Amino acid sequence: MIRSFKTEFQKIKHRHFFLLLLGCLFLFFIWMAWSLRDMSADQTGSGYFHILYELPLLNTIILPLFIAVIASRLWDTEHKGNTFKLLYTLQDKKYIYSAKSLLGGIFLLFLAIGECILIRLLGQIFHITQAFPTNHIILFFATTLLTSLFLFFLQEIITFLFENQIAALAVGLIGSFLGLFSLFFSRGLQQFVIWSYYSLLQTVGMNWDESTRIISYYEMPISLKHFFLLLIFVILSGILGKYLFNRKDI
Amino acid sequence: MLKQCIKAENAKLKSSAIWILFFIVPIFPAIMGTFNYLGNIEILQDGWYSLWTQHTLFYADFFYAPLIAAYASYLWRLEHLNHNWNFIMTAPVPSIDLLLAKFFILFKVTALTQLWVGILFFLCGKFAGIPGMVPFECIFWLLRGLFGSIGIIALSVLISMIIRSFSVPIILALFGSILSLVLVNGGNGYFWPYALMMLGMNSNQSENNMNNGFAFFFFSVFFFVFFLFLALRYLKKKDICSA
Repeated sequence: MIRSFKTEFQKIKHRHFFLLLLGCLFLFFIWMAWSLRDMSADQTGSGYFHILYELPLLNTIILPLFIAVIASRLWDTEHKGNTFKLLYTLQDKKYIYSAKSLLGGIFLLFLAIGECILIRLLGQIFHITQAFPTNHIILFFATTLLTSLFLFFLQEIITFLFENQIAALAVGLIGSFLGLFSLFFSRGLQQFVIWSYYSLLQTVGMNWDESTRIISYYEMPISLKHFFLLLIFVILSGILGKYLFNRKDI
Repeated sequence: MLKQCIKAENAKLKSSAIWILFFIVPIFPAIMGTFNYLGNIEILQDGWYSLWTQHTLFYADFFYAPLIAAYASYLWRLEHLNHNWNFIMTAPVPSIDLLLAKFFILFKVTALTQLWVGILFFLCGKFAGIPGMVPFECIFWLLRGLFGSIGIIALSVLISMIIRSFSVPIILALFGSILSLVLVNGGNGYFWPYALMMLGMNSNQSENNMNNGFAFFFFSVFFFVFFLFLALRYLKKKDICSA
């Protein structure tokens, strides 16, 4: 397994995976900086809640397609080089899927950690006076990572099953659409749209008073039912991916 | 020679997966926009114009550019595979014709996408019970959005030619589109190719938002020429790596 992982790691060298990650975080930074630029003194008192309210929305728009790209980058190299037969003769079949998934998982872990660091950084830059809401950040980290892992496992399946990468990218693009659209749904409907779990599991809500035009944020308990459901989805999609890959006809 | 190149590129599109993307992706913002319109009909009282704000909100702001990038990636992927670079570079065809052929084909698919978006807009309007026909302004905005996309198409031709990955140009286009929102709100949309299409489409606006038609026209043409020029330079100077 370790050898397989090292091999996969070698394959992504010079493929600018981390540049892509930094690009994504930079985009988040630009968006949040733009959103926070005119914050008044009393708004800085709930600055972290403002970020924790907007970041899941950005995750919903960007990450489904971003994850489709990551999965495609990891697997497309095998399609392009027609290397599946070669791999099967050199490596234990079951380790190929595990190694690629582990690599993708680590990458998504870095993404989730990067977002948390970004929140802290924004707090420093924009002089947010609110106390750092550690509990909310931990939950944000967990939900971002789990949702991303689930989407990654699904994208992996599409990516290795279909040689034409347009299928995987179309699912990513449509996922971004559906995730965004589902924000207008009731929570009852939203729970069926897997791409929207970044927002469904957020722990900060917003009130907008139409008459005074004042925005206020409030804390929400995380939906434990959906959190554990997501955890189960992650495990099942991982198992399903491994099963389908092992049965894949080459 | 250009005509031959266009014919060849056209042949590559036959029965290609691009058409699935072309057909399916615009349906989602149309459905989303229509339900959003119906859900807020007490505020959105301007008929076709209100529906336009909802249809273009997601389509132009987030997904138009990635769609063009996906078309371009697909077209270039054929060259990146099976040593096809060797074939096209040794073909007795001027480099500019190769690039222009790709550009024209992408422009054609983009124009058809806009037409499909227009048809969906009309159908959704009728479904929502809006009386009358689609106003001329909306048709004009669709055409203007198409014109605004020439810079993105040229940029996509360049990026997908350089980056051999199918997927990376698409996520770059999404990043570009999201940055457009920031730039358009700051009044700097004319200087960013991805924002020109958004301005042209009059995205999320029921009244014409174009305060500087000359800048829109100038920068659309400028980005088209600039990125095609860069692509041509790259094609002439760089040694192509074939896989």
